[in-house]
Amino acid sequence: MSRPALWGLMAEFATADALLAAARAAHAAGYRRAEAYSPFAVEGLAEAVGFTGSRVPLFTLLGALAGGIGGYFLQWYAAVVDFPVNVGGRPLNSWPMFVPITFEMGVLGGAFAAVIAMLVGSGLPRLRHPLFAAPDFDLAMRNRFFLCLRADEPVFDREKAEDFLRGLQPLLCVEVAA
Amino acid sequence: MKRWTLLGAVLLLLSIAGWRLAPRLFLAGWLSAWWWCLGLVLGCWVNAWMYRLTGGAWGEAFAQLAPRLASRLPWLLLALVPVLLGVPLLYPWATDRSWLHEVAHPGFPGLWLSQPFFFGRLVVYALACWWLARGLRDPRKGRAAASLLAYAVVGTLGAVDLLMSLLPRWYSTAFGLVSLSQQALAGAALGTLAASVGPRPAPWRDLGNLLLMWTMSWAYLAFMQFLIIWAENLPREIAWYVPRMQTGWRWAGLALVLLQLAIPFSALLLRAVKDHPARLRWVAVLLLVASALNAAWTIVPSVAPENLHALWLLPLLFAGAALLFLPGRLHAEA
Repeated sequence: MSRPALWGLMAEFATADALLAAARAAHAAGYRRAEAYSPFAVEGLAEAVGFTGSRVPLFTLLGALAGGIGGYFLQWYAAVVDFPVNVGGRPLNSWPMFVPITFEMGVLGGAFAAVIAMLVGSGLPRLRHPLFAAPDFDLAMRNRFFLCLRADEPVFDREKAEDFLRGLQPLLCVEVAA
Repeated sequence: MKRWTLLGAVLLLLSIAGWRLAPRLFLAGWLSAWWWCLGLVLGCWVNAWMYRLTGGAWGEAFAQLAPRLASRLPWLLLALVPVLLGVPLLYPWATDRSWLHEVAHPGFPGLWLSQPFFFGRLVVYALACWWLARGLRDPRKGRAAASLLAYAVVGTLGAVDLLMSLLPRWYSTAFGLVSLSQQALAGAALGTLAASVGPRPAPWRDLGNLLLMWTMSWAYLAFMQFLIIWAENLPREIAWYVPRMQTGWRWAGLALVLLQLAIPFSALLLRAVKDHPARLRWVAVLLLVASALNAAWTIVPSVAPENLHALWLLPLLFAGAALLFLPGRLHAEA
């Protein structure tokens, strides 16, 4: 009998501290793509699974710059090139008047870029994930803490991973089918 | 630390030469250095009161520093006496009442800007400052809230009377708020600097975000005042900006945009700056220098916009005032 394809092995813990310790142990054991799930943000958990930082801030900055420059260009083009109107003798390129819109468009572009970069970087949106079929996983929204070792990383070996997870004294250790 | 105080006194004595050369400029410079020091003390208290009302760990630096800053406040308040003696020289409304003919309803402004009432108000402001700054290290929440409210009123009126009335017919309803936000920014910078040279770790990112918030608040208020006046372009309103944009002071204004907005804003967006006290310290120092420049830019061009003696006199006055009226050590002994 052949085994079904495996997405990963998951252990369930009762407290945030146990999960934090498990995540650190997994990182120390060489698992670089381990994933942790908790009902609330746990201080230091992201660093424990080896999350070093994301490129969301960079995309936010680029989006803000694009929005700001675009906002200024829009006003400049409308006021200077496309439809120049003398308003009370002010210069056509009235830059002080353009600053508020430029700033607002910068904020808008930055916010859009941040949200889109976060979704794309997280692999969202998706309708199905192997984890949702795992037993108990709905408790990750309530009072349980999970650590999953993914099968797609080079160091992953089924038996070793299972031994490792059982060694952490979890409440439960389950296979996650792909 | 006595040495520094002495040095400050010597610098102020040297600056008396400016009194001989350009009396109005000297008075305006004295007022701006004084206003800067007072703003640091009160601005630090603003953050301390906010911290008292919100809690958390970010404000420990302000709760420590504010009472220490207030220790020299009586001397600072006394240092306003030279300006009081120079009121007839410094404030056009004190001697020349002809501007009242150009006002539609001269009754109230004529009464408000008359010498006896003006001096009386200043005494009340000084007493209010003294009451505000004699707060304990941990004031009760009610006291902190009352202090913030009182500061908003007294700080606004003080800015209007001492700074705005240098140009008698000019007024801006945002002036008080711009001044309050500027003081809170300077106080936050001083508190952050004190924390970064102190012995204890602090939530640096929170302090960095606090500075970012005050920087943006000040920039928003100051720019909106400018934008509305620029857009309307009325002679009575632009009177305040003309000496700041059509004399050498335009470079000070440009420096302000860079030093108090562009550079700190960009730096404080980066966690690489906010999470490291050694880097955050430099942003705080930059903001302190900018706040001194801002005090000079807000006051001196209204009085003597084209006097080049400002170039040596103002640094002397500001350095002297800082050494004399700010505590030598920013943090208590660990």
